[in-house]
Amino acid sequence: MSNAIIEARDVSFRYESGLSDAVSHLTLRIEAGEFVAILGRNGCGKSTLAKLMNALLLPTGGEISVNGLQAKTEDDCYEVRKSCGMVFQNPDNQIVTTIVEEDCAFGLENMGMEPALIRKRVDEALAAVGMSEYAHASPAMLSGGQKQRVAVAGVLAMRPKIIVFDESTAMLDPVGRRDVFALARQLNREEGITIVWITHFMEEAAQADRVVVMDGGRIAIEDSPRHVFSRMDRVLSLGLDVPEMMKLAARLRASGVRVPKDIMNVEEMAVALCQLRSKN
Amino acid sequence: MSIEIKKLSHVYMPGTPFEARALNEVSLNVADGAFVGIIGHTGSGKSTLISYFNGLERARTGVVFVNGMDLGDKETDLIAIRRTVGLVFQYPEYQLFEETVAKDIAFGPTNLGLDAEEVERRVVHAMNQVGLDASRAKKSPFDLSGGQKRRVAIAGVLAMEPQILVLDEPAAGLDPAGRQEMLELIEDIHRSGVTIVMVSHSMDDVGKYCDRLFVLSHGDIAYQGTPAEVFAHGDALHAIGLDVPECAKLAARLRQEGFDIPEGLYRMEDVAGAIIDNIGKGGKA
Amino acid sequence: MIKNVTIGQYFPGESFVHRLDPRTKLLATIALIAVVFVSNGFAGFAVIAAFVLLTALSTGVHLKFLFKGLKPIFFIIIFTFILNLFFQNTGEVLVQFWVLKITTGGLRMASFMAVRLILLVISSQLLTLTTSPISLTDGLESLMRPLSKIGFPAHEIAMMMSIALRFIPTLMDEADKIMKAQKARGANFETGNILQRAKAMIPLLVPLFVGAFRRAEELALAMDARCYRGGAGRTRMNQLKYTRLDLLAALAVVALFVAVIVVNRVCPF
Repeated sequence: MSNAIIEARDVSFRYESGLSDAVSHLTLRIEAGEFVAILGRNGCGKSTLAKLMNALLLPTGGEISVNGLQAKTEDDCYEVRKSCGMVFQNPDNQIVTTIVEEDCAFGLENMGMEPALIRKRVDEALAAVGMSEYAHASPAMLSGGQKQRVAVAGVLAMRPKIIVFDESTAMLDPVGRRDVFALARQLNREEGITIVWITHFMEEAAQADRVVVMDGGRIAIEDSPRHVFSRMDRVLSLGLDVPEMMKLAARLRASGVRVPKDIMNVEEMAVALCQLRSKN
Repeated sequence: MSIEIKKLSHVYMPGTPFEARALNEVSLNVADGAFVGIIGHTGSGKSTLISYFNGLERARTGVVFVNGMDLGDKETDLIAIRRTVGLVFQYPEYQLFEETVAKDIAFGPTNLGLDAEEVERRVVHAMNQVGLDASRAKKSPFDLSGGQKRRVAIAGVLAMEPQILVLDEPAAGLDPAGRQEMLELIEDIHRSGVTIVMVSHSMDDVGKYCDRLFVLSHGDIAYQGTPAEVFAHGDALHAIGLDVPECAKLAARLRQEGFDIPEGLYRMEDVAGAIIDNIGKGGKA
Repeated sequence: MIKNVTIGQYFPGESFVHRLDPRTKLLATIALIAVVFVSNGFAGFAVIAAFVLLTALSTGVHLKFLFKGLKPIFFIIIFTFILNLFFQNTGEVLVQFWVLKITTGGLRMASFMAVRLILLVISSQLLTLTTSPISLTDGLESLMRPLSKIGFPAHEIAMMMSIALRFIPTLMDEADKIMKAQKARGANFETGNILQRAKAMIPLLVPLFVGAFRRAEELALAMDARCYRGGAGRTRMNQLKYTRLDLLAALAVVALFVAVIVVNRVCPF
């Protein structure tokens, strides 16, 4: 129990203009070091949940504690944001300055850190995301994927325990998408940073430790990716998709080919079919 | 032949240190009634290419013909071009500006110089085509959801009743269900007789809907042909950062394992059929 | 393409002037402007012009860029010249027709005012050509900081300027995209009278403003998420530091002041 780094208990949130709760009586535990994917159709409350984790919003009901702290005052919010960084969807709208390394320093400057220490952390963070050679470049000259890497570096420099990615790959092309996702996985594995990965891309969610599917502000399904996606009809009814191979498995099973129904990728399908063939 | 491009080159900021070649002697044809896919990365030149399709850029080197009109010729009537080719850019919802949905959709047809009655007819028809309820006509487009806004923007182009519709990443940023609906909407428009050119990153999407593909890479057409022909270059595509549909990958993998899967299969139903032929109603034994 | 328009007119370089602290350059520019006003004759102007031109040559920036800045105010210079030419009636009459007459006094005054204006523009031009907008902003913030004690929003103004600089290319790019999209819908931005053209801008401006507000909201959130709480308690990674070069520059400007005052006395032309 003690390892929960984010713990939401019966959390609700309603926007001032809202007619109903954007997040409604939601209970969720995220363990330290986990890679959790959050899925759900547009408007299901995933972005609101992300902002609750970062104390950009405070619950209107229930409570959420992040890294052992429940934000009540403005100072608490500030502490929560230090431990829980956030990377947003639009790479253009989260870079503050006109020079890459200065943007990377922005959070640390806000924290009032010593200039020499900022310099060290910024250099390390840019190296960690592979953007050192662009330290003095203007963000306007970078590709979408590179801008997102700069955004990650800006968060990373603050040495957070958790990073929330709110659809950070939605506006990238496939190369940029793979790139940023791989970076998040690397930070999770090598640095032990807890990752909350909000996405519309099933192939990304399929690689998470755990998948949380939201619907109408609540959690609809919460399980390992394999278990979540193998409930194909339910997942499709929630406005999501399942991996292509899982759809193929269902089609084959309907025609009497007995492949397992929880096949996630091409490799698994190939292995299963080879086994079936050798049995015949 | 509805679009015919020959040896089209485009250089950005020629003669400056920023000079960059966006298109390199590109030639392509789009047949009447086709559903064509253009695939390539950011910077591959695809956005530049589609701006030539309706005269936003005028060809300086190379020629662009649309239904026999020479788009490089300054004498060619722009209104006639815009009537023929509709262009839907990426995230088209960001171009909405009018007070009401109906007024926004009417912008294009009004610019074509049509009379009020005809404009009204087209607005109603276009809303119907994209599945927008008539009750939304008097609403502000800014109050709609993201997916609905995009439909309004597409309706605004459809209301110009183009014979050729060009869409740049029409499904970008939508959730899976929204993507699916958007692609089906485009397929419906295609079925109603409109030639479609769709720019996409997703091989799965173009594989499902297109009958001809062009793969752009660094301003060159790297591969072209039917989806089956293009997907046959799986490894080469991978090298330029593109993928083939999962089912095409599986087919290739199974062939390696000695399965008898014909070349050129990429649709799920076809690959499933071939697997069943190999295994029989297997597993029963 | 619009997005490639350079912002400001900074010319990157490694010269003596380029390497000066932006605060030094700002203060030196103010001093230069002051000295232009202190000078009471053409001899003083000649000294200042020599100083400015020599400095400009040392930066490696092509002189034509120095004079480019005069273009927008060309009309004002001519206007000032003509006004002074006809309305200052002292000294000998040189030419006279109808009620207008040109006198030696008028000619001198007109030339004096025109040269003064030209020197003012060229001096400030030197600053913007050799200082990047971002270091200008940093310099301004640092210089204005003492004023924040009396409630002047020094940090806020600097942050606003810096964000504006950051977003100009993004918004230019967006304007370009929207313009293309509306043109594809048959919009016409190029022809028609002023009223028609202004009206034609609506389909461009509305989405551009809506977009700018959306971006502003998202940016504010992203800044909050990175612990932004205004200027209080904030440090900077890159500290501005005065060096020996700045001392040299300061001495040069003081020398210029002294020279102009001496010239004023000795050679009051």
